[in-house]
Order: sequence, then C-alpha cells, then structure tokens
Amino acid sequence: MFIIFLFTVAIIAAIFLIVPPAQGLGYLVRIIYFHIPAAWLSVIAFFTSAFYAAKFLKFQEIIFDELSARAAKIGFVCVIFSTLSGAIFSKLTWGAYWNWDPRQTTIFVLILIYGAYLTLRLAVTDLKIRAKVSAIYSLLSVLTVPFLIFILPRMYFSLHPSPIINSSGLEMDSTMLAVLIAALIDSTLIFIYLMKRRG
Amino acid sequence: MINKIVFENVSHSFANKKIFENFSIELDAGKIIAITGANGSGKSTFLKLAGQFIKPDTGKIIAFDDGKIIDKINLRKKISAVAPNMNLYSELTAFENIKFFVGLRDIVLNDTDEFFKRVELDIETKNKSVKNFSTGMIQRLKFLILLAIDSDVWILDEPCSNLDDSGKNIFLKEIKNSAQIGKLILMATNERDEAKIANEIISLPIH
Amino acid sequence: MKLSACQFISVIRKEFLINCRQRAIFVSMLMFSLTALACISLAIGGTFLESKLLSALLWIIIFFASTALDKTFDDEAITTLKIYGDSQSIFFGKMIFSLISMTALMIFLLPTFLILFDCEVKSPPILLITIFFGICGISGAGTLISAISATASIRSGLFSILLFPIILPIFLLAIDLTSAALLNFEIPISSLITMIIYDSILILAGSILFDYLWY
Repeated sequence: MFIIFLFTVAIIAAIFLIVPPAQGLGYLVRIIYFHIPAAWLSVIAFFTSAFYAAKFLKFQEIIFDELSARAAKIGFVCVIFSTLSGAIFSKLTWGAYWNWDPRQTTIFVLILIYGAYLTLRLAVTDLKIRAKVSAIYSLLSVLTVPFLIFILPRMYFSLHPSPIINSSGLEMDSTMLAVLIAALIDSTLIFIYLMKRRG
Repeated sequence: MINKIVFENVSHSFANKKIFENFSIELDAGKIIAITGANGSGKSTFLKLAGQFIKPDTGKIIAFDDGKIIDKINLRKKISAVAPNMNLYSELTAFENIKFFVGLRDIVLNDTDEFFKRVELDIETKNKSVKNFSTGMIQRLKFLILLAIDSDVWILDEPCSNLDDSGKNIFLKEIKNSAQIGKLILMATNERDEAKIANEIISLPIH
Repeated sequence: MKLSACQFISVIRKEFLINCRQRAIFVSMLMFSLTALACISLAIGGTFLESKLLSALLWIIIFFASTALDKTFDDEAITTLKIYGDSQSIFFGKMIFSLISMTALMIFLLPTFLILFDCEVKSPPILLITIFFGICGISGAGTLISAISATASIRSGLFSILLFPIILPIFLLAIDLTSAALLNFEIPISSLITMIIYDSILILAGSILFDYLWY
C-alpha cells in the first residue's frame, strides 16, 4: 500500500517536473498520463469483471460476485474519467469535444455496458438472484467487444493517435514513454490493490 | 426410480434468518414424509432445497437415482409438484393446460378423461377456460397434472388447501397409493389429516 | 444441450394460444411501433432524407418496437414452468415465438415506413435478408435479457437499457446494410456475414447462459 502511494507520488512529480512539453501541445500533454491509464484500467476492469462473473457461475460462491461487481465499479469510474479527460484533450487538440472517433465510440459503448450492468445490480434486490443475473449479463456483454473492435473502425473515421501515441504531431521521446509506462504499471497496481482490499 | 435424497450438513438462511444449521437427513422413496412447522419455519424452503431448486449456503444435497448420484438438471426432470404459488394459464382451457405441461415432459396425452375422473373434476370443465375455475377446481387441476406426469418425486406444499372433504380424501388416497409403489413424497403441511397419513414427520423448529 | 421437438412445439403452441386470446399484447406492440413511426415521420415529414439517415431511423423504430419482447418472461405460470420445463425448450420456444411476432410486426411496419418516407428500395432482397437476420439477433438477445429483467424488482426501461449494448453490433451493421440496400451501393457482404456470425454467437451464448438462469 505504502509503496504504491510513493510510486504514485513519484509519477505525479515526474509528470509535472520532468516530462518535457510536447511539440504543439505544450504542457497539455500531461492529460494523457491520466487519460491513458484510466482508459487502460477501464478495459482491464471490464475483463476482470467478466472473469469473476464466469467464476461465479462455475463455483456459485458469492465472493466472486462481489469481486466482479467491484471491478465493474472501478471500471465505471475509470471509464467516466477517461472519457472526460479524453474529451478535454480532444477539444484542445482537434477542436471538438466529441467526434465519433472509433476509440471514443468504443469507450462510449463501454460506458453503456457498465451503466447497464450497474443499473441491473441496483434493480435486482435478492442477493443470490442478483449475483446470477449480473454474472450472466457481464458475460453476454463481453461478446460484443471483439465485434465492436472489428466493426467500429470501419464505420467511423479515426483521428486517434495509434497505437498508443505517434504521428499527428506528437512525437514521444523516451522520457515521456518511460513515464507513461510507469503510470500504466502504477494504475494497474492501484487496481490490484483495490481488488484485494477487504477480500 | 429416485431412491433417496440426502441432506449433508446443510446450513441455509432465508431473508437473513438461519433456517437450517448443520442439518443432515435422508429422505427415502416409498414413504410419505411430512414436513411440519409454524409459518415461516422454512417448510417451503425445505422443499425447494430437496428439489434442488435452490442451493444451500453450505453443505450438500444429493439425489440418488437407482443408487447413482444425479445432478439437479436430471433430478428436475423427475419432479412434479403442487404448490400454492404454481399458477396455471388462465387464458387456456383445462385440457390445454394439461396438454402443455405434460408436453413439457415429452408425454403426449390424447385422452385425459381418466384423470378427470380420478380427481373428480367434472369432464365438462375440460374445455372451459381456467379463469372461470374456483380455487378448489384449480387445486384439483394441478393435482391432475401431477398425476398425469407421474414422476418419481412428488413435492407437495399444502396439497389439500382450498379443498372440500371429498377432494382431501381423493388426494390423500392417491398420495398413499403412490408411496406404496415407491415414489418419494415430500409434503409440507400443517393439517392434522395430512400429517396423519405420513410415515415420517420432520418437524421444523421455530427460530 | 438437447432439444426435444415435443417440448419445443408445446411451448410455441402455448405462446400462440395465449397471444391469440390476449390480443392486447400484439395490438399494443403494433400500436407502439406505429406511434414510434408516427413520432419520427411527423417530426420530419416532407423533408428529404439521405438513405443513411433513413436506415438509421428504420432501425431506431425496430429497436423500440422490440422492447415489446420485454414481456416474454412475464409468464403467468413461471413457477410451474420452472418445475416442469426444460431450459432449452423454453429458451428456443420463446425465442422462436419472439421471432415470429417480430416478423409479423415487420410485415406491417416495413411497408408503412417505406410509404411514409417515400423510399425507393434498389435491392429488396438485401433489405429483407438484413431485416430478417437483424430481428433474429434481437429475438435471441431479447429472450435472455427479458428473462434477466424479469428478476428485477424495479423494471422501468431496464429491458432497453440492457438490450441496447448487446445488440449494438447488429444495430450498426444493419444500418450499414439497409442504407446500401436503399441505394444499391455495392453490398457490403462482409457486414452481412459478420451479422450472421454475431447472431449465431449471440443465440449460442444465450442458450448456454440461459441454463444458469433457469436451474
């Protein structure tokens, strides 16, 4: 716990003190150290939630349902933060908050799925039934992901830097990349910590 | 045939109330087993556990078919039941209801008159819509479906509720006969008449 | 996973009998989709619409019409059904019945839509195939989602909330295909294949997951 905290502080310090301003973006580039890890976590959390959902259906132990729900809640918060920070970044770089870029669309679908899942959990009152139906829904929603990854890019034109960040006037130097990777590792550790707590 | 259903160290709670704690019992076929107890003592929960409609919080419930353990899906195929919350389709006629539920067990019945006689339900009601039935008639119809399906395990939750005396006598006679031919009969009841025909009584304590 | 013909037919026949007697179910489904159609056509009546927009509107109406499938598991005798019924025959019986009612609905809805918006369809077979496979997927997902939403104590709108993300791939592909069928563009055959694959996966997963829900 303490180590993760120190690590996080170190990364935040690095973002503000070490990372050079990117060409054409200036210090705005700092947003990506928040945006990318949040997006990363929301995807990780989505699959973690589905993994525990499958485990719940197999073993029928209520603890797996709790883990699945917790992952989904963390994922929901991350997906909201990631969308908001992405929208701000998008406004500052491309001039619009939203432009139906495939990746924006994917994250939007992820918000819908998380939202639907959490609504379902609120709507079902019986604990055992809730565990069962939300696990089923979680697994069903996972099916859409590979299809959306295949379909969306063909339907919506992309402005997004790919694969992580390149071209489009944004050159990643080695310091930036190192800090970004550290931020990703740190966010994953925070996620693991949150999943393990009390359980 | 189902030989027995065994509860092994079963603990179960319902609505935050412990109903069973480390409960073990063997329910044998060929006997009428009555489950008695005050309202809310868990009679219906006991039946649901025995039929593996719900899973106990801890412990195991095992069903044996010809001495071999069977899973809940195969057990379900050998259960028939009469319970207060089991509705029939009010838009369908008595015959259509029978045909449908029997059809779910792969049984094709063309002549149901024999069963109408057995539960003393007027044959003229056969083509009447169930929404015009009295509660007693519906109870007889549910019992008719149970007889027509003729499965190994009978789960009866207050089978004689809403019945007149002649209805009760028919039901109890049928229940006794089927226990004699080796069916496993579980009956939750608070009626003396019903408990009287039981070979074994499980009385659930009040919590 | 075994499916018995006798059980399967019993379920479909029962659904037919009840829906024929309670005509309110189908009539309200019909009127609901007509209302959705009227809502859109009155709002933008007379304006020329691009085929892309037209096909999007058509699928929005189909999506809202499909919310009628919400009632699939509001089964009067659900407890009795759970005791006597086998999960697979119930799932496929109810699913096929949903598909039949959606088809009946489309027989009414599609011509009305084409007339009200004065569409010219360049490739009718593609349009019909698209709609058929679209509603196949919607019926498959709808059956499972309706069984899920039936367990909830607060249900208003839950069905649509749960259904939409699941059928989103179908929704997007169908809009693409429909607009191609209206314009007679080169038919994006890969979209059609993707949709059929997604339908099959959805129905297969629905059937597997339904077992966990039923027992």
